[in-house]
Amino acid sequence: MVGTVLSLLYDEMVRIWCYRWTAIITAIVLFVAGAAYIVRMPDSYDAWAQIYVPRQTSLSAAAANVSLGAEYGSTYVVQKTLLNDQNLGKVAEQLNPALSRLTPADRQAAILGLRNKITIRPDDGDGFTEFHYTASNPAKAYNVVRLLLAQFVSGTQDRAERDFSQADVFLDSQIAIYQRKLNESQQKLIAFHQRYGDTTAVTTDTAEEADAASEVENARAAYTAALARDGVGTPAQAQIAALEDRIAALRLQYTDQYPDVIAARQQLAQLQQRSAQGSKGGDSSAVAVARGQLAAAQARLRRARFRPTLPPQIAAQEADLRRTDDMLRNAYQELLARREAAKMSLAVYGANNSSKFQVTNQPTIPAAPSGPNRLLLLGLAVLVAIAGGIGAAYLRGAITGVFVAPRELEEAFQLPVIGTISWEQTWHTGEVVQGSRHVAVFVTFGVILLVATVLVSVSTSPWLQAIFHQYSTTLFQGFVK
Amino acid sequence: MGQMSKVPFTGKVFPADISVDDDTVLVPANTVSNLEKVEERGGVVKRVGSVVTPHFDESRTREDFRVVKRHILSRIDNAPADKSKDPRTILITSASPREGKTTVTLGLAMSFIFERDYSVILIDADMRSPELSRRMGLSGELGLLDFLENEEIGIEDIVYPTSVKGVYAVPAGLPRITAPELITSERMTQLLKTFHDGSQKRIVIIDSGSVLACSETISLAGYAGQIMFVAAKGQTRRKDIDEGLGILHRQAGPIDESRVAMVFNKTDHSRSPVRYSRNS
Repeated sequence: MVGTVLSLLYDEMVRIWCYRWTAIITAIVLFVAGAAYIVRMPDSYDAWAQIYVPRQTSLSAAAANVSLGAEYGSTYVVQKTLLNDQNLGKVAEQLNPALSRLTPADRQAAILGLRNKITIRPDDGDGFTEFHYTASNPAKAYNVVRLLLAQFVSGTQDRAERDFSQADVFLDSQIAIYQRKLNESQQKLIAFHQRYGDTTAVTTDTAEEADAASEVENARAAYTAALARDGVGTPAQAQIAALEDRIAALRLQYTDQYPDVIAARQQLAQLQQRSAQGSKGGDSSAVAVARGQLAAAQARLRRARFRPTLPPQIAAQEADLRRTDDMLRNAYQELLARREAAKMSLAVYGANNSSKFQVTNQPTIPAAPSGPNRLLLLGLAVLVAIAGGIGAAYLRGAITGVFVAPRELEEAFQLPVIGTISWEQTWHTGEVVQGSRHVAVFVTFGVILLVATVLVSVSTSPWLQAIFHQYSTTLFQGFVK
Repeated sequence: MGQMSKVPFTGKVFPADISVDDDTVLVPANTVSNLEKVEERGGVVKRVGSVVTPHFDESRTREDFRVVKRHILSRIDNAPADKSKDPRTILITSASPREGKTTVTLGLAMSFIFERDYSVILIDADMRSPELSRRMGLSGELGLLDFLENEEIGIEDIVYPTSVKGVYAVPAGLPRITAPELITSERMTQLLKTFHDGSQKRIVIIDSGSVLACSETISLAGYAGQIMFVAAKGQTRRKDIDEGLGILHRQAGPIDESRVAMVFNKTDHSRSPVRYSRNS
């Protein structure tokens, strides 16, 4: 497969070789034409200006963490703000006052032509930007760049001032808004507390509760001890005490209507009745004191265990109010800090923005041409000429239809090719002379054409004339010495 | 016929020539003689044609011609007996001039040097530019056209020995405006028949003009049992070959594989593998 492809490729090369004269003549003609064109091309002059725009500005500092689109000093922004129709229209009119009298279509064409020839070169590292304009007239190139730079300077100043005032206004208005919102939130919170009580004051203190519980225990122990000392520590008295404890415990969980509580109370009433009948003498004063203390301790425990519960909707409302209040307070404080930062950067950059950007290269009238690169173009012309010559030879071979391989012959006529005869130049006595004569003719022809090209070039191009003049002067001086 | 029989042949043209049938051959049997006689005419020694092909010693070129020769011989051997056209008559032609017909003719002749069984007669029938005669140094000598026009001239008068043994030459002769008509005359048929008569194997190679330039070539193709169509590499145009083959096909019998073969000439070297008798 590869062999077949290579063989076909070889055949095509041989076919081109058959028309090498066509190739050579075409190449020479193409090169001479190209060289004449290149040499006669007018010189071009490149005028340029460079500006430095710092990327950090007061607005971008003020709006830190807030996206404002492309960076202020980026080439993209410069390109978009500078190369708009209004700016270019102004430049075009300044260059050619007659432009305003032209039709809108012509005006548009002039602006488009200007835009296509202006190049803005970015500098990735820092805020440097270059404008270039290339023209055959150095004064025109200089004027375009000068006017563009003036447009940029005035436009950027306007914009910067606007930006500064905008930053101030923006921050002030935001701060005012947040202040009002914060006040409203505070009012709401106060109203809520007035309505539902200061729930913040009610606390459930577990320490106090434990304290009260231990006090109850102590009081009960003291009461039991007093009963024992009094000698009337009857089972009935102990039962009464136990029942009272139970009722107290039940009452913590249930209402008075709960069956267990009712049953316990009835049992207690019976026991007390029986006890009263059994000991008419009554309690001693110590026991009475102990019982009073126990009752007081129990009351305290009950109070400690009390939890005031608000309905859930109201609780949620309160949490919401508190959250809003916190958020507004934070935002407000941040805005205040930003305003401070903006004020500081204003102080740094100065009120009149004098250090906002710098023109690092003022345009000048270019003294030496920047192009075209004729040597490179001539090199390209050589390549194009060779390619054109080969193409012409190939085309001619394809159109004429010569045979370069016996296989082609066989396929074309369906007749056997019974042999291929190698062709030696010496087979014909005249051929050798003829062959070398061909080479001689070709060489002479080529040399004549090249000399002609050089002569035509020198006579028509001031660029080459200058070079030749320089060399001849140097040579002449050498001779004089 | 009778007129033909009056042709005064002074002796045997070829040596070891044998029975010639009077009914089929117009030349009297006793006049076709040996090849020694062709060396002189009327007591004067004739010029000797030089068969020189420069660099024929190059084994590659010699091999190239051997391949062609082998094809030609195998076609002769395998030709059907009832063939109307003798395969031993070989026409070398091309579509356009300067494609190497004469070179191929000479090279082919040289390749027969070592063929002991065959002798070769080269006929220069390119009336416009008798290149073969010129190259062999036989320009201006009595030749084919003289023989065809003048009945006084015998076959042995126009056959010349060459520097190579077994190779004989017939130059074109003085150019005549009547050449196309002379080529189609009976005397031409008779000449070719005489050459092929006898026990000795002879091959007649006719170097003709290009098909598109010379009308004689078409008439000559009518005699040939084999036609070698020379095409030069990177030179011959497809449409010229098409046209040439078309003319031959219409006017000189069918062009088919058994009769017409192509020779690819002027290659830098033989790229195609050697092929032996694909057909015939």
